Amino acid sequence: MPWPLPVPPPPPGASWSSLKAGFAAGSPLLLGIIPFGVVYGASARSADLSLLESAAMSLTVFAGSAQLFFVNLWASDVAVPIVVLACLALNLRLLIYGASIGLQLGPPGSPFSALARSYILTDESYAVSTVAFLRPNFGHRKVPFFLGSGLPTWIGWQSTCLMGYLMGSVIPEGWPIGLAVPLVFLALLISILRSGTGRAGPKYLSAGVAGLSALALEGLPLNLGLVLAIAVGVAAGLAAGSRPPKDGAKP
Amino acid sequence: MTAGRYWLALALVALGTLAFRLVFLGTRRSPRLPDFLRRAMDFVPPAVLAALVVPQFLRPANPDWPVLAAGVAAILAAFFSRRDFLSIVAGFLAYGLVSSLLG
Repeated sequence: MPWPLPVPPPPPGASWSSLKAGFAAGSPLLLGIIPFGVVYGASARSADLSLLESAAMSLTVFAGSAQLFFVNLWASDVAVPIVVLACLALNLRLLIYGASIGLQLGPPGSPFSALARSYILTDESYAVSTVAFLRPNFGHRKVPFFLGSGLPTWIGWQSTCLMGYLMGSVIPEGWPIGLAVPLVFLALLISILRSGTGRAGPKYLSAGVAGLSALALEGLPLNLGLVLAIAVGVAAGLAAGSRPPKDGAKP
Repeated sequence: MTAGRYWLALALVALGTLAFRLVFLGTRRSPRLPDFLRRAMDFVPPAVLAALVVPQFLRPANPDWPVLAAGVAAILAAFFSRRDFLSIVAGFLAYGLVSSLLG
């Protein structure tokens, strides 16, 4: 398979429309963000953080699971080095996402671009953009699309963290709106498995092995099961997909 | 004193997280990866999504039937449409249906 994937030259002046297209692609996740942001805000308040301290974490860390973990550890008075190491272990997956999407985006033209695309990298923007980029008819500029795809998550996260802090857990029990995030990820997974690039078998194998490994390794602390499962799934796909084509064997 | 501890912990987590994000996204030159790692990148998206999603829907020890039904409905919707929003709608409908059937 050729790498990087062949990219049609983006039409000039398409940055704004690409940003909007990314925003549209990322917006279904907005619904699913709400309960997590609210829970974070409410937990930050009950951990005795000030509104400024809580909002500063949402603005600078901008990673839901690590933030929730942070405030829970903080509430039980855990030592600073342990809080830091635990949260960084939770965020280790961002390294993998960056390596994967970085190849698609190409080197940044300016430090501002480097910071902007790094800051907006989350599970959500990674999933939405990486799947969109694989579509054969993707006709947008990749960098603005990626930035746009993370914006709904950013807006939803910042506003619901504030909401949760100020109003407490306002989501009624039994409203499973948080399910929207895994539902969208599931749709993206199907889309990526059915997309035309590459041989299908190794992709399915990679997803199957990663999924089952994640299930088996769920007991590991700090999301390390997730990171390991990704590694095992990628290795499985690589092992199945890397057999060199037999040039002389054509019938 | 406690406030100082908080800002120290936050600064370290924020800087560390930003560093993880910047390592591959912020470097001027394209990261030079060995060939097998470049090929490995083909499998990162399906592996990431499956690893994120499977434990949310499949809970062998303690199955959550409405959630499982939501997942099946979302998969079906994704097969028939490329609109991710429809997977949310189908998932919630199935969730509501199965939870009301189970009482």
